[in-house]
Amino acid sequence: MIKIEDWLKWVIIAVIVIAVALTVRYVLLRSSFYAGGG
Amino acid sequence: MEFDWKSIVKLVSIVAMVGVVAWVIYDLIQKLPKFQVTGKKIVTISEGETGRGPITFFIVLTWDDICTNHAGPNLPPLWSGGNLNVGSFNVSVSKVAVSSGASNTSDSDKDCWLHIDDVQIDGVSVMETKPLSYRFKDCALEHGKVVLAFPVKRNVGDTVNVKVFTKQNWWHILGRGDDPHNYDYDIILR
Repeated sequence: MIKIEDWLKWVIIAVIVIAVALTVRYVLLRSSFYAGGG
Repeated sequence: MEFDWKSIVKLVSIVAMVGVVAWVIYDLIQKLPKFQVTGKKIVTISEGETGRGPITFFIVLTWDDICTNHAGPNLPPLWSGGNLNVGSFNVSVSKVAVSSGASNTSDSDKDCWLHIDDVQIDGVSVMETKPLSYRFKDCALEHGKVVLAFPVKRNVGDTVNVKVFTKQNWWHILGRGDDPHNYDYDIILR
């Protein structure tokens, strides 16, 4: 099993969480709830 | 003191993660659709009509040009990108009766709907039949028009508050839904 150092583990977690958060924000702002309709 | 770069990297990662998540939540809350408020409309009547007691005004709500963000006349809003405007009511005041009308044409997947759940003047519902539903044929290509008029008896100089409660179902890149859009107008009768 690959052993990941503790500091690297937190870097990976942070990158994933930030990516998910920004994706959720992007999708929500494009949704009809925020953007309305045409 | 020994320079522990691993601990610093870990700390920076955690701070960045918490910061970005907090910012996203804050940003989404800030951008929540808000109750739309327009400026005041001032209607001037002739000098001879002042001081005569209440007279009948007609509050006229006009909805047109509903698809205001097209990239081109033959392109659906799907391609316009960015936020899609939903238009708004234009409010005016008339001293003569105004005939009401609306487009209400054929059905298709691209048709859009404007459901007017209620219209309140000074907090009192003035719609005899509700909700009123209007269908706009292929809203990507065709604009629709709705005109509603409500009589109110007021003195010159009075302010009336008009609230319009709608659900709007426009064709949208991420699907459709009856999104609530409400409008709030203060009108001074002068």
